[in-house]
Amino acid sequence: MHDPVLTFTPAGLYCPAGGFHIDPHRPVPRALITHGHSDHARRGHGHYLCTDRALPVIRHRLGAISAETLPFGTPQTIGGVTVSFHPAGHAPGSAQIRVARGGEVWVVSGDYKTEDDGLTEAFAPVACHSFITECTFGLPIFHWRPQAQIMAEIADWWAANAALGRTTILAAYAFGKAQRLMAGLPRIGPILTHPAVEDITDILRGQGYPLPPTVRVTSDITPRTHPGALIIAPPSALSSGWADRFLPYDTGFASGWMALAARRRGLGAAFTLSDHADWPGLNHSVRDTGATRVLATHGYTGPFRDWLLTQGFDAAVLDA
Amino acid sequence: MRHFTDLVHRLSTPGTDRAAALAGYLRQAPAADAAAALALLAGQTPKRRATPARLRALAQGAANIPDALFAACLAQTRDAAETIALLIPPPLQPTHPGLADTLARLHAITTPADIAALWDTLLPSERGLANRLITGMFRTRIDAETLSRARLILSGSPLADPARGLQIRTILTYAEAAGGPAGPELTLALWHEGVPVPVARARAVLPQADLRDLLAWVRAHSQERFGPLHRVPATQVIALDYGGITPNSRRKSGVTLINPRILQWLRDADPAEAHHISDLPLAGPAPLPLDET
Repeated sequence: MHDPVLTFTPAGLYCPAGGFHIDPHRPVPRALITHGHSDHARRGHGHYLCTDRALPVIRHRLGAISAETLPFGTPQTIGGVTVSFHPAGHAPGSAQIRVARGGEVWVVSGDYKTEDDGLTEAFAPVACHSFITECTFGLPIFHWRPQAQIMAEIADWWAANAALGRTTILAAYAFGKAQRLMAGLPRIGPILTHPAVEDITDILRGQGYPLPPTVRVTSDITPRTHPGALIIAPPSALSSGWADRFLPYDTGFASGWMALAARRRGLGAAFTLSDHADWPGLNHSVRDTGATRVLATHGYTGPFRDWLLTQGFDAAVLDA
Repeated sequence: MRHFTDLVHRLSTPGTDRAAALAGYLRQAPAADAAAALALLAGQTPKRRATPARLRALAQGAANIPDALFAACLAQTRDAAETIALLIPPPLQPTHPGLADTLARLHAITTPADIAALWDTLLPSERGLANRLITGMFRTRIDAETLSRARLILSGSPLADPARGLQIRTILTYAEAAGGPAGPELTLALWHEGVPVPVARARAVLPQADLRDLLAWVRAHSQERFGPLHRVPATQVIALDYGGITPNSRRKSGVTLINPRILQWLRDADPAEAHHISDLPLAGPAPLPLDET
């Protein structure tokens, strides 16, 4: 391919005509960032560009950075290309990035999911010629059930624990999954949060995301002050004994990986809830962009590429 | 199938108390499912309906994927039964069929379409077990000793299993002597240090003959009257179902029972058979002494 719009370099995805990288994993002068998870938003870049919805959490995690923002859908010209951000539905503020040069359009999906979770800006396919897609769950064994069914299962488990006088603990990453859970669950009882979760939640509340009231866990919060509670905490907190004064408790984990029996072993309760697209979601999205060229990244890249070839796409693995 | 799947998982997990797991399942299972479960666990398994290879071909065909992609899935799960179970999308509107219903469908399987239809009623996490039953590879067994230990636990307190409605035996302490269309309201208590402490009020929805006899008994044994309520001797045992417990420091008992529902008047029960406050599965503040409000 002569002079492609986007290329893959040791630092990650790079646009030569625009002089910027997308979600680079080594320090670069100019980085476009899809969302604030740590494998996408890293320290050390000279200048950052992301959505206005994503920046507060990114600043919280990275500290003082030189950054500017764009609202979803608003184009900006950088060097020889036009860039714009479009909702990816993965976490609040998360984006796909559209890069156009002349009439040629590329879209980088970032991390995305196709179900509308009622909290994040919902994914919509963006028409393009070349689509760079994640494929975290890019195998046909991954089919998600509607969010409402999973939330009902979590709620039943919480209620059963409450009836037994046990605290319920959901292990969830502080940005994204934690907020989706607190927004999607019915109120069986009070929701308590680990400080790392509450810090992010406060930021998102301040931005206007519809998040319910939650109680930050401090030393005077106990099962007696808040019986029948659900605690949302990062997985690392649970292995540290942080939750010991809430014993007896029952722990659960909500992730797409819980679809696999081997991953459920040894955990308390396991719920299959993911912020990435499942097999049907990936396939529909690829088709809906109208792209003829598809590059697979982040996941089952080889098998997904092979599958896309059988479906008539000009497919390749990106990170090679 | 969800509860039986869960039971089989527990029975297959080292370190599980198998008798307790079985008791927990039997306590909540409808009679047909419980009977089916015990038969399967005793080795009375249905005859094979299809080979694993047939199931794989059916699933792969339905998913419309090439061999290489199936192989990639198998490399991830390391389990052909699980791969097959996960390839078919979950039912849009799950109906959660019980074990007995699922076995009935299984016995009626004659065509691949019947297998596909059975798969469509089950969640992916339940299909692996169903597939083992279809291929004659269900190997989980309970020995006689575990079964009799389970039955001994079953005859104890049924209070702690959240999978079914929680049930307790209570003492009748107050009753209306005449019921409106909804039945007379009863005040029900549990023992605490030798005295009955009220924990719930509920309408006596009972069979007509029992209702008539209970009202007659209340009128004949009334010790004191408070408006429509009669205080009665603490001798009648009433089985009560409820949805949960929350601590309530404003009540003498220290608890509020959620959605109490009268199940039965246990006419032959001795009052000592009613439960105690301490039998309630509640890790919370102890009930207040009786002379406080």
